[in-house]
Amino acid sequence: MTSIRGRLIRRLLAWFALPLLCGELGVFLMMRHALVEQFDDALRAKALAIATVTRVEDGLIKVSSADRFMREFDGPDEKRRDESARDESNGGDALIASAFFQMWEDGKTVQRSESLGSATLAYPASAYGFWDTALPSRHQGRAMTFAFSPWTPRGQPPAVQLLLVVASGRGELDRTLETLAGLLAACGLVLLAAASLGVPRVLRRELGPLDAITEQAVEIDASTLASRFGVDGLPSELLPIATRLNDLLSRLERSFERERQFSADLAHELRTPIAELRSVAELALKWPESRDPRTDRDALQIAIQMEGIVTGLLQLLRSEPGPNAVSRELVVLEPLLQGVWGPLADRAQARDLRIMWRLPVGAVMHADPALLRSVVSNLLENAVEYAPEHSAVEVTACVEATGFVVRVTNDAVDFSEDDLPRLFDRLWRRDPARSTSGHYGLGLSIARAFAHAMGGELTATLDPRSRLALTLSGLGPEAH
Amino acid sequence: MRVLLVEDSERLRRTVGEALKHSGYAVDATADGVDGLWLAQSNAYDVVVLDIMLPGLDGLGVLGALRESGNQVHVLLLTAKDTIGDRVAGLQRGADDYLVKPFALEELLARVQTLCRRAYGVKQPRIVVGDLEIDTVTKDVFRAGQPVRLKPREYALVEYLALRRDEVVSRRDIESHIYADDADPMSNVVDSAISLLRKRLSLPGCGPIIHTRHGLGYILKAEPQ
Repeated sequence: MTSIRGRLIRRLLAWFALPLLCGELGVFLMMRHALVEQFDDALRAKALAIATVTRVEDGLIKVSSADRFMREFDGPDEKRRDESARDESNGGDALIASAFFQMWEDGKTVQRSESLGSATLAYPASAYGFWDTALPSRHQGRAMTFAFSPWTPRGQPPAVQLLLVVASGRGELDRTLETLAGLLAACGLVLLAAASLGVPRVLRRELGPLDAITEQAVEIDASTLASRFGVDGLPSELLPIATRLNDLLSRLERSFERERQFSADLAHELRTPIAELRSVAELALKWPESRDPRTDRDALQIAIQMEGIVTGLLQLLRSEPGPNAVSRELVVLEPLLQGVWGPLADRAQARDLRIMWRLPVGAVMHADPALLRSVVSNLLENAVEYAPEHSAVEVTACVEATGFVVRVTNDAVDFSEDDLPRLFDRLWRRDPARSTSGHYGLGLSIARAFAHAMGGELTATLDPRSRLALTLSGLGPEAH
Repeated sequence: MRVLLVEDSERLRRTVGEALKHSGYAVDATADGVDGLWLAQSNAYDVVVLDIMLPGLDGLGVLGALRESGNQVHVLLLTAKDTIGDRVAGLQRGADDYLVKPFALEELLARVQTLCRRAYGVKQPRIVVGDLEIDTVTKDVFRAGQPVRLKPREYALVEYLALRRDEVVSRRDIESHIYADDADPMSNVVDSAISLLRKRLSLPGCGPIIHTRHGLGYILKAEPQ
């Protein structure tokens, strides 16, 4: 599994190590360039000094060795030879301070330093330059070529061009560079080690809030959905995450609460008719001599009631999203509505309800006929059952901004805006005692599920005059 | 014994009410919580059988109002809510018992009977007063070891007097606990019932056990030998 913390550590260390490495390399190269330049400057000074003390005497090239700086070109004396041998036997360098020079005129050697002994320096390829070379002492050195004309006394013919090569051991230079490289490497390693220790600790501390959120999330289950992630003091990167998680928990909590309420309502809905059936039967069995003549009718009505609940729930389950076969055709509204209203007319009359139809002639909807019939049936049943007596029920079909709609409106004086979100919940009824027999709180749930199945929408609104409007939309002829 | 039944389901109200009456209880029944509270506060019931989900005022509201007013009547909660939380809430509100629907009528009657006994501080199912023995479970009555056959209302009367043994019980109490609204306040139904009960309990060799306290009422008491 990918770990963000691991990746951060590796990448941070890599981004630290790379510049560090490049920086140290840069420092080393700069220092090496400076040291070599300094070495070359010393060689140049030596070459100039040799050129200064070189003169033509009696047609011969002579180099005055009296000057003190020329002593380094002398061969090693006995004392230095012994020291050098001891150094060499101890693994040190021999003749580490030796310098050499050689001069040519027209390709012929005209002068050479004592330190060369019988060895010679390589003839230079150019008149001026610096290069690394092997010294007669078998150590690495650096040489310089310098062309000049020696001093000539007045009256003498002008001096010829001489080519001078001056060489010097670079052992000390190389040791300095090695020491520098070692120091830089050691510092780099120390810094890397410090970063390797520090970066994880810093990450652990700074990612603490993320770990806290993770730990809290692990503790959340169906029984602790009321908990929320604290947002006070949260880093700005985590705040949106915590806020979204809290929103999700709120929705989950509401959803679970609705399911709990549904389960409780279902339990109540089924337990009461079962209790009634049991009591009716037990009473008849225990006291058969005083058997109530309503016993059998009661048992039948209870069975029908339970059948209605089960049928409604099955309808609802079948209308859930899934591969249902929903046909769509143009359905003429007026005959369908009149057909649905027929069985309800007596009940409406008994409650002195006035029905008002506002339907355009030939109004159609693009829907499944059976599902549409069920939807409008539930809407009209709902109105007939719950509208106050002596009030009006209005059925309207019209074109609005959102399209063609069918709306059933009735008075709902006991209804409030708080009830609207619950209206389509399964088994929810306005009366918590669920005293109204024959209605189980499933009708509007089924109606909305069927509306969705047909590609439409069923919504509820409450106007300031406490009139509840149930609106079926999205199934107009334009939806064809 | 007088029982108040508050249940919004008409069928349950009818069947449970009938079962209680058959078992010898005087029963008042209502479907509404507000009416139920008023009845409970206005009358002396031995037990209130109370549904929770009621219109008007729910059962827990009725119970809370009764307890807050100091009414100690025994309450049996009857409900479809069966979670532990619901039971605990009901019992913490002051209910004496909790029965979940659907239930067996036998169990309901047994629980009501137990609560009625507790209403008079009696826990054991057999009440013994002298040579009178009453089994409140089987509703059998024995006098000097001999079984005595009583009608339901006669049994209810002797049980009520036995639960209030050694205590003068007024006619009004007998009317309200045994006859509820069935008795005409101007009638002598109580005197007639006591007279009939005395005859039933009168066996050879047995002395009177129900005594009259003129102007006060009746007392069931074993006379010293």
